[in-house]
Amino acid sequence: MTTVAIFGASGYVGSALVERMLAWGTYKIRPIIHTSGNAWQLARRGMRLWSADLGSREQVREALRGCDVVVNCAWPPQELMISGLRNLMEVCISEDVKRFVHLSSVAVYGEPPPADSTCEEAEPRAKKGTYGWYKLQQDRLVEKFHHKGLPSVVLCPPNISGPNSPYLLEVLETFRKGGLALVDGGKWPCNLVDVVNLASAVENALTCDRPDGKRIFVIDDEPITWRDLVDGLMPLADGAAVPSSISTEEAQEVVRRRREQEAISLLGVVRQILGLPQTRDITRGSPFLVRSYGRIRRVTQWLPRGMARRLTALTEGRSRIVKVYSGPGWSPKLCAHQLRKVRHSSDRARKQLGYTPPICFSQSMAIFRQWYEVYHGYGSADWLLLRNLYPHAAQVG
Amino acid sequence: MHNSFRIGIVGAGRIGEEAHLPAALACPGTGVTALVDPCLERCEALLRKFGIQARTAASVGAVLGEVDGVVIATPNNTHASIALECLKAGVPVLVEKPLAVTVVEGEAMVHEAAAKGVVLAVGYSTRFRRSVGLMHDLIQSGYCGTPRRFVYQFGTRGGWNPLSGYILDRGATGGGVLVVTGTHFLDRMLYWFGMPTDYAYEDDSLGGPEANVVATFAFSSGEVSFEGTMRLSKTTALPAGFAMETDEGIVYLKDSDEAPILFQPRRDPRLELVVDTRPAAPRSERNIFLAQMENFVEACRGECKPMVSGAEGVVSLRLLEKLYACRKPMKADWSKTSGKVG
Repeated sequence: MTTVAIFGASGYVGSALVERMLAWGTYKIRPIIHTSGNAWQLARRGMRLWSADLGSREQVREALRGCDVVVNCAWPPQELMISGLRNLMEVCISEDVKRFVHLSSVAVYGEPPPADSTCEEAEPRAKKGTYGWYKLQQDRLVEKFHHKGLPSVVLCPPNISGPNSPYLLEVLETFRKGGLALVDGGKWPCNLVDVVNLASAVENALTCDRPDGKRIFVIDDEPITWRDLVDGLMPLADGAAVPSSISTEEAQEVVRRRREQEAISLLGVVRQILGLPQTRDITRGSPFLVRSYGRIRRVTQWLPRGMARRLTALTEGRSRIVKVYSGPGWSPKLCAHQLRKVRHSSDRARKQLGYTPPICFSQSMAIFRQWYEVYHGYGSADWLLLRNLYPHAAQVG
Repeated sequence: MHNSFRIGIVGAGRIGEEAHLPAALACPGTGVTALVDPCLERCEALLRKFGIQARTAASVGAVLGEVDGVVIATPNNTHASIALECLKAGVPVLVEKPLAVTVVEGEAMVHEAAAKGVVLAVGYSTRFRRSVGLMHDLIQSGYCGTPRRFVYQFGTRGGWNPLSGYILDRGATGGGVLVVTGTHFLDRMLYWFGMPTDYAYEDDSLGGPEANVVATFAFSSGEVSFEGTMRLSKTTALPAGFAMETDEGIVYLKDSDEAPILFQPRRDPRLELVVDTRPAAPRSERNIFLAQMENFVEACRGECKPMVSGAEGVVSLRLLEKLYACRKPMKADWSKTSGKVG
């Protein structure tokens, strides 16, 4: 029996993949995790979990020794996104791994993605330093190792749905709180892939004939819109009003204002560096830097109030700056997702992998709703009490 | 230093580092004189981190003559043997929750503590939240009415990650999320309402530690009877808190150290009243581990009783065992409903 190592097995996709593969019974599974904290979904099975830090080639080698194929669902810290993947693939080559399936993301195409990113050949343009940019660097590394002799498939999913989907839960909670606006009535494409469909694509990728190390979109089959998604979540709305429709221009304004606020907060990067406890310790120990901060603070009286408040917070050593969004309360993130306005195509997945999504959108949503009812008590006799513990209760009443 | 209470901490893992050691160091009139862990390097690292000097040892037996009380912060399945060694030597013990893995172990500990006349306290630290004591008083007095139903939930995607990773080992913890997370609420529930007269329990374990739990409890006393539900998860986020419907309104208490008790009276649903004690509690109510340590030291000095005694810890264990004994499987396998369509 083929032994498959699944890195990142405790994550949402990784654990769902392990559970699906166990149900198929066609592979010997080796789930590989980083730490035990998030591994409960698998641990409940009483199965052995292997542990490895992608930063350590020795640990990676030890974990995948004897495995025939590898699936990489790991989402390590930013500093390990590239070097950790390189470690993993170098070990794969030395251990003679026969197939490497890497999970990328449509985020590599940027926000918003180019209109021609219906197919994979479009030019990726994720901004440097973003999650999408790191995933893009990973894709390039995988392709490079593919040509070095590690037969690889890069699967490129959009947001992932299914039971316990973090994305669906976020959309649902935003919807309930009144923070979800439907851009142009929700007519734009909503790219989703059910975790079962993604697992099926992984299985296809492990056995397909001609891996080429290039990205392959894996999307649900039907052309789902944001309106469809809201309709699918409506039975869980808990009394929330149907989301308002806003124009593309209004949505762009919501996103623009959010980006402007992030830019105002002293270029994000500076904030992160100054916010680190180590940085504060260093600066506090230096009379020169303390004096410099004093000067910065004096300058703040000439700055606009919002910027001055942020600078003052930084010089006083607070690690977090509270962002106050003064817009209409719509989620900039979900506005931006609707402004993508492109539907990625699974044509290549069908041709190259033989991908056929096992479940359709309506079934996917039905399963999500059923899961939500069981795990959150929605619709039970307790819900009238439970709902008051949720953030949306105050808004809905 | 001679007059100070000498604390030994057994277990140099995360809870020791983040809760008990800082609490012992902050506790007036106490000093940490021993740190015990099979990994001596870890002990040394903690001593350096906190800038203290203390005896280090691989096993508790080596320090029993040098401490006035011991805090046990080790994997659950080691609590009983370590505690019994201390108690037999006449050394008081504060054991991290749960008291032990089985009722039999817990009873042996209680018996030994009684025989030696020393304190055996259990680290159900949330009892030191001011709101928990106040809720007890409100329920006893009927201030917010007679209970009709309650719910409690606590859910996180993963979470607490001890250094040893023992938390995923059912043999080491004695269970899963019920023991790791839920036992805190069971302790509070027992404190507020007493032992339930009936219960039902389901979880998603397939041989390992359960990650999701739904338990229901029935309470009956005289003419008053009501039910409650507890939901726990280690795979999905559930906003944590307690809500109770009474004949006079609804009482809420979010699950955090500082959360206030809120009461929505039925006769005027526009109102939400904050119920608090007056004046504010004088002691270190902001840090429940410090309050717990102060209570333990005072109990050892004979100045008070421990907030949670070993006997109460045994009652909690008894309820845990009853729940596991009536376990039913929870729907968890969604793949079976994910077959091909059409």
